[in-house]
Amino acid sequence: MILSFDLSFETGSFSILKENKVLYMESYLEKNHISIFPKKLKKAFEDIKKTFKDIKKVIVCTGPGSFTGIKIALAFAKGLKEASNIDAVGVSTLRAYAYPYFLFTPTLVLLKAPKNGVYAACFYNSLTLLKEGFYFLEDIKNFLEKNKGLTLIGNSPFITDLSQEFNIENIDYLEKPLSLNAYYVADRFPLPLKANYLKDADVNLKGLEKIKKEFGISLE
Amino acid sequence: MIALGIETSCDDTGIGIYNFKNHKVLAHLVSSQNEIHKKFLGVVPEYAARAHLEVIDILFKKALEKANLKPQNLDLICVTHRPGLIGSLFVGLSFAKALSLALEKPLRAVDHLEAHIFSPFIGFKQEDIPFPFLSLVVSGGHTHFYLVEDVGKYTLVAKTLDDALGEAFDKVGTHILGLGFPGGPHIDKIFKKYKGEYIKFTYPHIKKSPLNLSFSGFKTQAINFFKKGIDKEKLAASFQKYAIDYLISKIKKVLEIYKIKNIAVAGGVSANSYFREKLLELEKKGIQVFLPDLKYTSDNGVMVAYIGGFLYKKFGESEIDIEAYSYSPLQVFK
Repeated sequence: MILSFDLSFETGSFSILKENKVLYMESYLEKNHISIFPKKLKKAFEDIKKTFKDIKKVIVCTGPGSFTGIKIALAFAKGLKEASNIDAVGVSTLRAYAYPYFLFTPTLVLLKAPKNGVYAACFYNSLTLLKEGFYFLEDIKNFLEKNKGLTLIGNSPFITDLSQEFNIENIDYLEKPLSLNAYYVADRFPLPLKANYLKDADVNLKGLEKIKKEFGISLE
Repeated sequence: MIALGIETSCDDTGIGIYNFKNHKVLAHLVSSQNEIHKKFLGVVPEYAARAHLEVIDILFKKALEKANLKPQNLDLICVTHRPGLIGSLFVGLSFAKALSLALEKPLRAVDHLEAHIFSPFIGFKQEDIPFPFLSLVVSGGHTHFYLVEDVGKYTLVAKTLDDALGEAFDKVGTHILGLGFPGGPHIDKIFKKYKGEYIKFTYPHIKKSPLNLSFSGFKTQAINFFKKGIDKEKLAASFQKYAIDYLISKIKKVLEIYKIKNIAVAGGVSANSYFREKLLELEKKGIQVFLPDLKYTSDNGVMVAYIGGFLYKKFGESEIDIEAYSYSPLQVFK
């Protein structure tokens, strides 16, 4: 039995599969993954009369996305792996989003990111036309100017404007449950169980600034 | 019963395994993040959480190896779920929930303060813990006195109104004197070697709540002395002496008012050499002082497993949807 799950954004989802058959699939729109996800998962196993000991493999989306969601998902996947000594693989959230489009057409994925940016990548089957990364809108516009005939997909709010500006007809901007996509992608594009943040932490130096001001001394 | 304890509330990843049958610690592993945070002169929450995620599974595996156990041998999964850095708490809590579900073993969520409160008794059977006792948790986040009547029965009797003592130590040591991060141990090191005279720090007066404490005045005095060009070593040693003497005077007052003869001191500052020396002097006055083993003074998983076992016995397991909280007053959660 395989458990595949994704907590990269507000839409959390998980799928329980056996021999390519979906035994259970659920998605929910809640930010509070730390509480909701284990509860729903536990109930799902009870409903299908299976136990966690039946899991032979775990697939998890490793990001990019919400830093918090990614960490909760990976910590959970690591816990399952260590408890039962089972196989656990990661899948890029960008690639899971692009499935199945990228198998047939060059697909640019744009996902929500902080600071008016996007997490983006462009895949065409096993080719990567734009490397996974954190980009600003101008970078994406430059890419779109040079690359025509793309399918545009993702949950970034910029998608509709970009599709109009660049006359892109093939778009899909719906928030998606990704656990099943992750399952289909995992065999060909497995990743280690490592968080794919794509963006460094914004170090909050406000505390230091306050101390500097308070003490009237240089900390350097 | 063999309990696993997971601690990720701040910048130390701790995994502990405790055997309640013979009250022995089977594994105690802590991965410190000081190297990551020292260039920022403080803990960066997002980096802390990321670092926990990197090492938690490795530490868990190593702890099992050290205890010569398999995951299935664990009977209880205990984890800190509050208070602390929320992203860091999520990592430990999510890992613990997965272990609990996969191993079909109960989950017990623990308050970080509660774990510290009982850390001086690690190795004690529950019936040997001398209830009621006064607990002082003194660390970078807390300087709190609790009256502890039983497992899960705590009353806050006094606390700092501004900086925690450990925080004041770090601000003076790291930010004012530039001794490095964390500042407390550097100040203590200087204090131990210092043979000169002390410069006098005055104590704050809190009229409305005389049992409460304040350390921001010590910090301000340290800044003023520093600006006057007082020698760094003299300043560091004097700060330690007067801040600790002040805390000891408050301990005496609280013990007297609550007519308690037992005090258990926990938290990072309980490793301070001068503080330990002054606490032991209280024993000459008929006070029984309980201090944690030095290796359990800072954050660790053993203390989480230890109190988690008692809480499980008394209150049962936690629900699988239990949340993490960056702040909440000390109370028992189901």
